[in-house]
Amino acid sequence: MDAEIQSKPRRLSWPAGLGGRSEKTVAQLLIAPGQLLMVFIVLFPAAVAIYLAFTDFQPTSGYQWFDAYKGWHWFGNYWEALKSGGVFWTGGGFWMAVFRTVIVTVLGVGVELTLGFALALLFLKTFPGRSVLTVVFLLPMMVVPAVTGFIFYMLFQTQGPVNGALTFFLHDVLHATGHIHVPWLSDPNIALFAIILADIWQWTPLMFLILLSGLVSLPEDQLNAARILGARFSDQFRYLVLPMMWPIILIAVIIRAIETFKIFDSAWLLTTGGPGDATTTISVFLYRQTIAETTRWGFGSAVAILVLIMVSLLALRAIRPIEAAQEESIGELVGADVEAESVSLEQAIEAEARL
Amino acid sequence: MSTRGLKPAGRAIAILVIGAFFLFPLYWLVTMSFKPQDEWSPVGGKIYWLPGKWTVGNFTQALGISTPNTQFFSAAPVDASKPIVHSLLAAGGGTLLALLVGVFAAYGIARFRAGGKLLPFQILQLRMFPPIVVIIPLLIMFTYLHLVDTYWGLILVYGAVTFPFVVWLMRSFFAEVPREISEAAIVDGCTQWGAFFKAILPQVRGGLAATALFVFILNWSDFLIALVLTADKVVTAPVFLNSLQSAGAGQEYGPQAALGLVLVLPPAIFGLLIQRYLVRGLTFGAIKR
Amino acid sequence: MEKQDPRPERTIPEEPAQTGRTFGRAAFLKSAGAAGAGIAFGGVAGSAKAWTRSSRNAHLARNRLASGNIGGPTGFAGAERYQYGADTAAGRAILGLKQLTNNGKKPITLSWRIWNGAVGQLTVPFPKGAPAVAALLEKETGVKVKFIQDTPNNNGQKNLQTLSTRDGGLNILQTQITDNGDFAEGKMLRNLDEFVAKYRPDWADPKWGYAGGATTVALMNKYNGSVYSVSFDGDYQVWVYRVDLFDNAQNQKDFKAKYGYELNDFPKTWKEHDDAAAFFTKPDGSLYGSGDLKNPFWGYVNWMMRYVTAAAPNQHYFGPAAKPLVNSRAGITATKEHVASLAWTYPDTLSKSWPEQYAAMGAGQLAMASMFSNATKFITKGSPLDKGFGSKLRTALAPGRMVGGKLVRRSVIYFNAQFAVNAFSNSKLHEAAYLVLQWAGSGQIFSWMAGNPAGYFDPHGQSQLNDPLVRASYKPYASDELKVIIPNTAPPIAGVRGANEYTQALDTNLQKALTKQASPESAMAATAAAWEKITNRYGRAKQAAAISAGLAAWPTGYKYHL
Repeated sequence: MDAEIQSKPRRLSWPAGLGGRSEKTVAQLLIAPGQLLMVFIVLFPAAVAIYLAFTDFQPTSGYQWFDAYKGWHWFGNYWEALKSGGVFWTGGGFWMAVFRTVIVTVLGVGVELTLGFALALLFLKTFPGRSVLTVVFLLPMMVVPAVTGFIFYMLFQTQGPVNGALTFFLHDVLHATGHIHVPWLSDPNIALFAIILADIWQWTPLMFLILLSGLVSLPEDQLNAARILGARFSDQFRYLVLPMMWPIILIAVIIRAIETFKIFDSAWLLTTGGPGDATTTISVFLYRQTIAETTRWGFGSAVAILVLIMVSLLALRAIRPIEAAQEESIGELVGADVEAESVSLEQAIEAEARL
Repeated sequence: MSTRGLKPAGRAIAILVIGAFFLFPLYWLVTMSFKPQDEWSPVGGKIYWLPGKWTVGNFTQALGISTPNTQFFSAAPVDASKPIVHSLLAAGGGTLLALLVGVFAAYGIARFRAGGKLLPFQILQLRMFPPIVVIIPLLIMFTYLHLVDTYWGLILVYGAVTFPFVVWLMRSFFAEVPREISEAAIVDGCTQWGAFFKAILPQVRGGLAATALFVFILNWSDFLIALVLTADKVVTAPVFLNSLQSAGAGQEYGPQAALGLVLVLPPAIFGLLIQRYLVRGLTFGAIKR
Repeated sequence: MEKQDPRPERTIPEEPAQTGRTFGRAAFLKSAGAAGAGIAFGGVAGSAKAWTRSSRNAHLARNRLASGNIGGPTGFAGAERYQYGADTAAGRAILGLKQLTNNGKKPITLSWRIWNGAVGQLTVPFPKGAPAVAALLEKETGVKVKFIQDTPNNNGQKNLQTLSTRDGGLNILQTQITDNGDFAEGKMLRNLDEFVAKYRPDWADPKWGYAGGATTVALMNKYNGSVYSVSFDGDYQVWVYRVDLFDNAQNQKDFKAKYGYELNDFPKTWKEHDDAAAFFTKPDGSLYGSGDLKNPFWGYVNWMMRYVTAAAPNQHYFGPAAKPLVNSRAGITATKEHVASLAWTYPDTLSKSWPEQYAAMGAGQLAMASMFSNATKFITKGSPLDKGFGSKLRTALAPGRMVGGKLVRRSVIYFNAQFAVNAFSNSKLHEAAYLVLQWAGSGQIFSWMAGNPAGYFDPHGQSQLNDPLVRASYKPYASDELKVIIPNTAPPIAGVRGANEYTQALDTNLQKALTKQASPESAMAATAAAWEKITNRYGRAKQAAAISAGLAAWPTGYKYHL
């Protein structure tokens, strides 16, 4: 058996197929509780949802859920969700909720990435107080999301501190404008950005951490060589850092995008999906349709299935980089494609020298 | 890497600005928790940047040590001591369940590739969809099993929802343990289980602790699941926090801020303790520093 | 879906958490004239008194039922007011219960789900010397009640659970008028018509019944023409205003100069109201003309008051065949006015609710506002409504409109706490459960309960509004005004399946109009379209039938003074 052990000391995974029935049994026993839990949390709810999605079941329907076939509705619920139109940006309905969720995800993750990268670059070199400041910059991530929602609810009141601070700077100090009374939470065009801002505040630290781990693990030799050759910072960044960091950036973006897509706590606590429907993301939409506003469990199940399908399709693609990364070390992650990039960097340096 | 373009002064300014952005909400939370009632949201819009009159009343009220000044609407309970206990028990129980199930599954995947290629993918997918999607069928199921508004119901769901994290984290920790250790134990006469418990597990003690704390933070921070699956008997602290802001109680900023501060302490402390592993946990084990 | 508690936890300020001690009430009890000679009410426990003959007789009289009465509380002066003979609704209920329990030999236990903020009215003795309501019931009939407490926030969820699991564990449930359509169709509420016919409750009695008579009975207790629940509350909206502002001579002079007509004691029409609100609103924010709520879940009632007064005797929400009527000129006008009234209230009003409004009124910041009838109950020492303006407040019926020469003034009610018999529970106990509700909701017993500060159910009947304890608590002027308001109260969207969904659709579109996302026309059109979808889903014929049966709940009179 020893002879079969692979001899790549740096590989972090263990090879399979070592034979022996006892090992197979052990393996199966080990994962059995997990599989049971997954059946409970995924399979059964999915089955119930699929069934109910074909009915117009409500708890006030007068019969119990397994009798929901009495209100058989074929694809009526799906049709209603899919053909829901709505005023752009603030309208109700399924598609607008999806649209708003996508906006929040794209803008939120985009800003988090940029800001996080900037922070990571700032923190790359040691400076006095760096470890203390790192702790400080991590704090927002540690705040319970429900508390974050509450804090920003306080902050964004029309007579609240954000407007107060803005008034102080723009009016009292700079005399540039009048008093600031931006209705962050009650203006349907602005409210969504309030939620995005709360999300950015909470999760930029995570991006910062991830990107910092990546930056710290970049191979020094390539970068030193480039520096000695006189490459500008922007060129180093574009031709060396970015390509090497690409797998990490990809993973960070995917992970944050997945989490942001699910956003509920701050959207609900800040505006309960309002004013009207202006901040109803997909989770808030489902919550309102099934619990908060009406109890249309049949319709809600259909929407839930639609969301499941949508997310699964995306997940199939998105998971691959993550799964691959789970097998590798961070050094391997950032070490990719170094050859090609260093060539383009040399070309860039030469091009500049010729000028 | 050369950051020649950035002078130390420039860096300081940038850090100051970004730092102010990060700290401002926290500063507001802290100061609000010490403000007396008439400074929470004064009519007329006056903003108290610092409490005019520092008071610990919000904390004593939120923790049930004192009762609020009787006014008509503040008869709404602000005593959060029971919800905090509920949160502790539910989060703790959920963490235990997740650990129990997840550690074994992680070892199976890491050591024996149990479940083949499909199982890790399925587990990963678990985290992909919004929890609200499963909540309704879960609510129906729980209604009939009489698990709504019970500890067991919450623990079950918390465990199921966070066990994927345990799997990823522990898998990466197990993967770092050299095979030779379990091999040696088996050669010494242990069964597979013996090898696991006596040889492997002690090696990942640190990782196990970090995982436990990480998962506890996740369960402690949950809002939606408790919102739907509890009513009044097992209300957890975040849901209770939300209820302090109802049409009835009005906006009880002070006790809410105090409770919020208390709520934030465990994740903040634990999070800083396991700082090294945060990235690993939150990236599903993909990025290991 | 049940909203978060309307008038949440409204306990009297100086009562330390519901101990039932009437110490704080001593002052007003005495002033109410309820104290007999030499008999102290509160806080003088165990005082050694010399028994004079007269005091002993008085003491004995207090502990005995007045002649002719078969039941009711004893033990305090004035108890005869709440006692009843055999030929009253309460008496019939007691006799019926005695038969069912074989005069107490076969005791019955009923479980009753109730809000924790209200249960005190049934379990805490009041006034001093009296038994608790539930204790009296057990003593007279052998029926024991077990209260299962919950909060207004999750009572709705609990009801849904009971409904979806057909749980028969509880005998009496707490519901509200906007839910009864759904719950009745969901077969959770026991149809009470046969018991009503047999035992003849006093709900429409001119002396002991609801202040609006049969109309109020239809509004509260009926769905689709049948009785499904019993009213135990009076969630009425009263317009509270600062009489010192309206009576001020300088204000009257300035108003007349500006608008060309006299400033009335309180606006009679919406035009007068809007003018007065604009007149009183000061740009520096020290005074706002009209602080009626506009926020989600609560503001729509103020729109409804503007809407239902657009026709005589009423502008309905639905026409024949359940056709929505809100996208008419009446609806659009009401929406325009509702949106315009944002100018006369404090900023951020869309995210502020009752506590802020009550506090603002108490601080003298509002000239008028539409509030719950308990507002005057809270004008007591130490409460936010007593910052110097409490004595300056008065109440009135909502303004209205001139329609074809008639002045139509209507208030609207949100949802009222009701109790119903759980149809899934043991059918042998349905009759007993109903009788308990008839008894406790009767004029005599409910009047006795309404004065109890340990709970927050409000009065809704003539006898309560005349009761000295209630009048002292809610203030005499407000009690009299309620006699006018209650008969002129129009229903919200209730008495129909999906009432909450219709209301939600209206509310969401009103919010859009208020935040300028939609014009009044498109908001009303969207509401009507949403309503049609809901109606089609539930079945137009059934909805139309229920709406038609619900017409009996609408007020018909034009009497605005006592």
